[in-house]
Amino acid sequence: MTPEPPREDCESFQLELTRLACGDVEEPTPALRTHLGNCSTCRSALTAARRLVSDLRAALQPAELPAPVLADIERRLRALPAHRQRPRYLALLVPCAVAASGALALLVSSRPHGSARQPMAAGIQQVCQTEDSAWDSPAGYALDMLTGSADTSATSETIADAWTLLPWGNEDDWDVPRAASNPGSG
Amino acid sequence: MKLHPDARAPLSPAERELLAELVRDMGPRVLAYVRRVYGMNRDAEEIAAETFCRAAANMRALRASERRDLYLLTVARNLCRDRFRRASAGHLPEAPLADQAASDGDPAAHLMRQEREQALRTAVAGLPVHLREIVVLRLCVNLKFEDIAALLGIPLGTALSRMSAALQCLRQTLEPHYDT
Repeated sequence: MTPEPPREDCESFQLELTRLACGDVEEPTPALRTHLGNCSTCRSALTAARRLVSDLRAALQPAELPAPVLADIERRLRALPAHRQRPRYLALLVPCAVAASGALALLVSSRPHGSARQPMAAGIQQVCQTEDSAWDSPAGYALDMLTGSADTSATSETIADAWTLLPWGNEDDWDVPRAASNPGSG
Repeated sequence: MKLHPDARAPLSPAERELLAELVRDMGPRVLAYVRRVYGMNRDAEEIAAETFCRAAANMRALRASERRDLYLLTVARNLCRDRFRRASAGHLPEAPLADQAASDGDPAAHLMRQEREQALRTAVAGLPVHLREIVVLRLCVNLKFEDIAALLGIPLGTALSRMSAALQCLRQTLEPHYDT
């Protein structure tokens, strides 16, 4: 008769025996098989553990969900909010997109459109091309200021009359007063 | 189980189908886990229902989860622990209520089986909660030890040694019911 293995050997196989008893592994490892062949204590412990596990499985078997629980789950699911919360990055992205599009719209609307620029350019061109235009000289601007009129049909005579009222001569530099340009006089 | 289609429901038809499937497959196991480990009879049903509602409210996480069974059990476990933390300042119950076995066949045999099963459930209910949880997860919820270790956040060896200790404890308690 083979002598029983030492107790330390049995303890080293304890966890493996538990796995075997619970059905986590189908077959024992070769080392455990050899040990079980020599150790009656572990053999009987494995048999008892397998029986206990089988009985426990039967006793602890989960029952079907009771109808009130199912009804409760349905009721709770239907009571969930109608719209799920958006992800956080979307919650930030949407206001940013709205602000950016608003700024873009403002920028575009503040710039003159092609149709608005054309009459303005045509008007400037017309003024510049007018014969005897008061805009030909700086004094022309002064004439407009004196007569209170921007009439572009001003004649050479009215311009000559206007020079007599001004502190500048006809040949003077337009932005230097006569006295200053001719320190000896006055 | 069939969930009612509802135009205003926040879930898409595919999500509702997924949830119905989970309620069908995992519902009994979630309820059994809560009942056996935490022993709350009335509250257990409420927590089981709440578990699926939390899952529905976090459908993105549920869909992304590779192990939806572990996801649901984690939600249920957290709900239980939260409830007990609030109710009894962290003390988990030591003796959950045992439910009634179904009746069938020979009344005498049924009575004997019922008596034994009742003794088994009572013995499991009498285990310390850290051992009880392992027994329930392995033999009632039917998780592998690797999954139990992942769910509880403990090493595999710890899960196995707890099961070994639980079986030893149960064998001693149930000795009168076992001749050998």
